[in-house]
Amino acid sequence: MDSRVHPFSRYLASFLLASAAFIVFFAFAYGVAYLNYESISSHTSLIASSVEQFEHILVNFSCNPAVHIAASSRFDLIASKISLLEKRFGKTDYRLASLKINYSDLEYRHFLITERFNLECASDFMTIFFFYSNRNDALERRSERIGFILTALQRTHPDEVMIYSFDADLNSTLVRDLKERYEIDVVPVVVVNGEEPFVPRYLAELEAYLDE
Amino acid sequence: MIAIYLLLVYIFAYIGLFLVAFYILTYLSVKEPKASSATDKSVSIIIPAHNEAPCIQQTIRSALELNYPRDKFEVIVVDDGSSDATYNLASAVKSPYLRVFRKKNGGKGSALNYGIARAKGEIVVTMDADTFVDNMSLQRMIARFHHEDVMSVTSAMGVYKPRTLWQRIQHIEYYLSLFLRSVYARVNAIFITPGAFSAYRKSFFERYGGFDTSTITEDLEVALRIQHYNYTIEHAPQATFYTIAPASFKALFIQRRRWFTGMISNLIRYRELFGIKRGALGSVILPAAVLSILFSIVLIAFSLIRTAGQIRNELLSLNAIDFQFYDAFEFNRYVIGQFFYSFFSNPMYLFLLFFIVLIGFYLAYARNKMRFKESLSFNFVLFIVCYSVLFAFWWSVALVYALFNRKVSWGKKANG
Repeated sequence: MDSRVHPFSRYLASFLLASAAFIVFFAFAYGVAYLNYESISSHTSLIASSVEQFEHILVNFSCNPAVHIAASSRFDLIASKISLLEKRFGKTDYRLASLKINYSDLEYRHFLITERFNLECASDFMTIFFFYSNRNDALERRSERIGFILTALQRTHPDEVMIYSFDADLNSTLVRDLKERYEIDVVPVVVVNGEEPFVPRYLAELEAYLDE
Repeated sequence: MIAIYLLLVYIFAYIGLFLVAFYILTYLSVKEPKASSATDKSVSIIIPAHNEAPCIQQTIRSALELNYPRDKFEVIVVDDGSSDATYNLASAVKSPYLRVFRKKNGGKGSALNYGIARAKGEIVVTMDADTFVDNMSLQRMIARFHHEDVMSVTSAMGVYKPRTLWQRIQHIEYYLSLFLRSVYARVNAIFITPGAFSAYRKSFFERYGGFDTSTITEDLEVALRIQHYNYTIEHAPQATFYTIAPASFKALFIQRRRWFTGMISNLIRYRELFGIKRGALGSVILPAAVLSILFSIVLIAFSLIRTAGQIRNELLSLNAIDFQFYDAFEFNRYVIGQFFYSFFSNPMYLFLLFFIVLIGFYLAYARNKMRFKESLSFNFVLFIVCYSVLFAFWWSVALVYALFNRKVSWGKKANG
């Protein structure tokens, strides 16, 4: 038995098989990722139609609570999809930037609807603007923590608190205007009911602030 | 950092795919050499024993029950200076085919050499004192000595009645090695002959000396020495035996520290086995073994650091909401659907899934050859969850010991 002979043809076949399998795995993974992206980002049209719908609500405003509930549920649906895309593709993914600009417009329109309900229909919604940043790891971590606190707050007060999250680094006129209006110099930060910017560290701290 | 981590994962995955392809092609394309007569050689079973009172009689009876022509068969027990009743218990077993010796403690290698010097058989089979064999195993091993170049034959090892978590993990580990050993045999690349139950031509020891008493892994050393002299090591996948595996974390740690530190020193000693001149052993199998060890250590360290960072962030976030979970863990079809999307769209998880399926295939092969019936599901899950971390940990410790030249002993009681 000559055991020191190299099975060169088997080496080559193994190399080719391994390369093919490697490519197939990547192709499969990216195929699934692409399908996922397509299925979610097809909702760009949903954002656009929602912006129109919210505009229509603002023009033909009525104090029917069902209007706010319907708008909020559509808003939540889109928010969850944006959040999912962020998780899937990374928060700084270029494909998300344009979606987020449109989403910011939608958020602002929802805010205007909520504000009208507060002013004209004796509603008592609390509005929170959350300016976050993913510019670097430290900012991202701090933003995530405040996001976590806000999510917990919304879970405990689902019908009272309206949270609007804006990527402070977004190339959006609206976001720039809002930062200017609320004098936002540092992020992450929250603005509750248009008051002074505030950085909550704990849920209890935020709840105490809201109670004041 | 993440980019480096992913790069390492993909390099490791590619090497893994190459090896899997090579193993499967080798298994399918290289036929096992024709077996020789299963009973034409005289055999001496040598059982070295040091403080093995609890199981020595059972082991001797298991050896005596081996189905083999009695005129070509003997069992030699070498009590290596036990301080318990091992010698008396071994001597109490009455059989014309059994000889029991007692010597001053000198280590397993020295006990084996003592036995070899007194063995009458053409083939010597080393058998640990806590090992139990299938009665057809010996014939199946002897049949693999099909050529005069075959100096050793290894067998199929399992864990005897695994009970503890650590034994269950080893249970799977031992079965997994069966397929690899079958492939290695086809390219003469077996580089360990487990001391628990392996057969050797006595002439090899007469020509090149007995077991090396200066090493702590004499079974690895002798295998590398056989390869060094360009002989062949064969494998008999249907020759099954079961050994009592270390039951506690500490015992297992001591055993692995010894194995892996011994492996490092022996691989350095026989480093000329690496390289293109040594066929598949030197150019694929040994380099792959070394690479997989290094990659495992780096990747597991990376993963643990990353996971620790993530846990820290999660804890800080949960602390921020006073550890009130609300409906944070609410599941619905949408979330589950997105989980699967995320899973199948990440190549890293796909590779992981592939290698888990592959382990299932290796186990199916072991079940087919060793004909065991027990369910392995629970042990399989334990293995998947724990083994890679344990493997990296044992190897890290062994590398530290080797690097700082720290002495490793057998420990109080370590199997294998």
